Amino acid sequence: MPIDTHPELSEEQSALQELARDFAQSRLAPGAAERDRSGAFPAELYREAAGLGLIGLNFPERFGGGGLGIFEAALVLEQLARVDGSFALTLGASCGLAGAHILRAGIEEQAARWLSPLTQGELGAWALTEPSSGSDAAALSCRAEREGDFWELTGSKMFISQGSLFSVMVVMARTGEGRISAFAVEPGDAGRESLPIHGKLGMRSMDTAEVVFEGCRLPADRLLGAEGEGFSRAMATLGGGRVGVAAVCCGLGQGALDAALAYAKEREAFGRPISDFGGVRAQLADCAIALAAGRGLVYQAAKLSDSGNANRSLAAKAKLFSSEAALRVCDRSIQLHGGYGYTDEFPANRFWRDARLLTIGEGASEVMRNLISRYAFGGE
Amino acid sequence: MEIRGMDALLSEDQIMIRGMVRDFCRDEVAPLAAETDAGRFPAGLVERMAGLGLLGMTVPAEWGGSGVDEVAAALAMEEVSAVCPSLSVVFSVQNALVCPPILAFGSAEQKQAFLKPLASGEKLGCFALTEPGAGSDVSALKTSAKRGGDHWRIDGAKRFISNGREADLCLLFAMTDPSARHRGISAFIAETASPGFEAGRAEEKLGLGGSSVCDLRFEGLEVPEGNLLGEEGQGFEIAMKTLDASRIGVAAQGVGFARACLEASIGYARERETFGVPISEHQPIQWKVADMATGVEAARLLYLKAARMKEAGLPFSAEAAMAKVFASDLAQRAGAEAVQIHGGSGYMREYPVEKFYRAAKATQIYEGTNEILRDVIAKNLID
Repeated sequence: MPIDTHPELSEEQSALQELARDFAQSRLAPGAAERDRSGAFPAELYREAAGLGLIGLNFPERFGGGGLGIFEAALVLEQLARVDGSFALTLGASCGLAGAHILRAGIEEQAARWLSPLTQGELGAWALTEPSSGSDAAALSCRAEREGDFWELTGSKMFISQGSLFSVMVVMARTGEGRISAFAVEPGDAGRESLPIHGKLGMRSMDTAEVVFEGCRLPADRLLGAEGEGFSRAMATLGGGRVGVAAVCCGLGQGALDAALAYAKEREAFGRPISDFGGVRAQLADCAIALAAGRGLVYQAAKLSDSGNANRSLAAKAKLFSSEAALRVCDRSIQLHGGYGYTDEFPANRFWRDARLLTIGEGASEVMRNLISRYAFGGE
Repeated sequence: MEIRGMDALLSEDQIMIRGMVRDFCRDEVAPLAAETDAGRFPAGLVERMAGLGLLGMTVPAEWGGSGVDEVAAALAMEEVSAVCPSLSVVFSVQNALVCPPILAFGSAEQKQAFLKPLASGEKLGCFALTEPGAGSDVSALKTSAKRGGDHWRIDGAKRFISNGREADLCLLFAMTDPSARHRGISAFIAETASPGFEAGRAEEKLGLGGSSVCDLRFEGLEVPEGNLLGEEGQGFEIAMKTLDASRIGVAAQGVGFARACLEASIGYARERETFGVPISEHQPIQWKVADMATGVEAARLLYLKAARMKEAGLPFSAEAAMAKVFASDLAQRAGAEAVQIHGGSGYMREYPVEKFYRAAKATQIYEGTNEILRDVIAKNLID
């Protein structure tokens, strides 16, 4: 299955896309099924990807990034997710959320200190969701109280990617009435406990944890950016990160379609390959159409963002459409595999289980629809 | 409704052409949209379109056209479609089905004689491929063309020919060698005023009331030898290449229909109140609008991609087919949801949305049914 060609891809962008595809096929593919069973995160491979320059593409070069755009980052995420969703989403969350938030906070020393390691293969975590607040993020109750030169962090964060394996965790906490601020937590900080979450449906080889803060004292320089601007930066970060998540969705769907195509050409029924049956062909075509549509939204949202015309409505559309399309495509892939699709000997069900997260995480479909309709009715 | 952010990635010319077509549609087409749909061929608007250079959009100026790029032509198609589905069919036939094959395959004499008057809008054309017994399966064509001295004698019948009653020129496909099946098809340019050319009554249709569709009958129709388009036996290739490209326009048409449904729904939902609030405050309505808006954007990007690929000289037929299937299915769904959002009013002719709902159905059928196109797309994936 060749890489989808796009009329506006430059030679450099095509080369980058191929580099990511080669890395995914030669390095990620061999162990992906086993990691899905064991739940182990491949830290070595992640550092290897960083060595190839695939991590932090859209960050400035002075922080070890690629100095490129969200578009290039999306091309890479898509090719990684096409083989290993957990790996791609780890990258998406580490750079697209934690890294992006640190960069947005706008303080050079902070970015040099916490963002640079992320481009070298360390992991960032980003903690907004809590046990009792998800879509209604502003209802969070984690709090940070100023005590002399310190901030004391108290509360719990839930479903935090890289919640155990991080080198920096960006934590949103209440610092006063109606004020939410962001803090950088390091692994050595006392008063922080991470409880890995096991038994996830999918995205099993990425680290997910509940993180509990009790008397976690942070030096004053851990406040990211200015006090009280944490929430608006978090929302902007989420908005930007959606393009990356949508790219992951397109990759997952493409991986499932690749598998379905390979199987349909091999498997025979009633004396011919099932890819000869019109009904099967129509399903394969529908999968390809849905992914092409999702990809179109992702690429456009990324290009607009890179050209300084970031469009939150379009990013939400890309996320909503791609995540739901990926889920449908993965479901059809399982169906076309028949009984084999139900086993983990074939990758279709892993793609489905991985994709199942993405209509929930980083802005649930319900929230996306609220947002898109608000824009459609002329709101901001 | 402005196309948010999209403009950042369009050229100034593309934006200008879209704006010109949008203004024309708002000022001149919209007031006549309802009566056009009710069954009147919009002859006056077609003339106006000719004057504005909208009937030979991608044809170079030397052949009487406007010479705009594929993207601009598709954007223009979306604009016309969003206001008057019937007029968009006239636009589509001339711009996508009749002018391009003559430009691509015609001799200099044919371009002079036929393309110039077509592209300048002086003459109207129709595209006659489908027959009573041959739709998706083009190799089943029965219309025959036999050589007789310095002309071809054509006998047979065509079905569902848009603009068939109004056209001055007809691009028709006939078998010159039935034993060669699809390789025995040739393309001819016929004058509809010629003896032996007869257009049947206008069909009554579900939608697109202002665009006539009719049967054509050829009995001893004589076409001069010089009116063979391309080579003998090249007709299938000409037809397929033409339809490959025309699907970009059908996709743009679907987007236009869906966008009109979206815009009307937004307007209605803001005004209409239930339980003391505008229905735009109700989440089920909001989510329908969100899905329509998402679909419109995705479908537009698909046709723009196909148009850009065509413009860049890259293979685009799979992209065009995907855009067409996606956009036409979207238009049908958006029509249904827009009628639903409008409630009882949506079911009435007084409101615009049922017109788009009825029109949208055709886009799933013509210029390659979505079923045949899915097979084409699958073939592209599998082989």
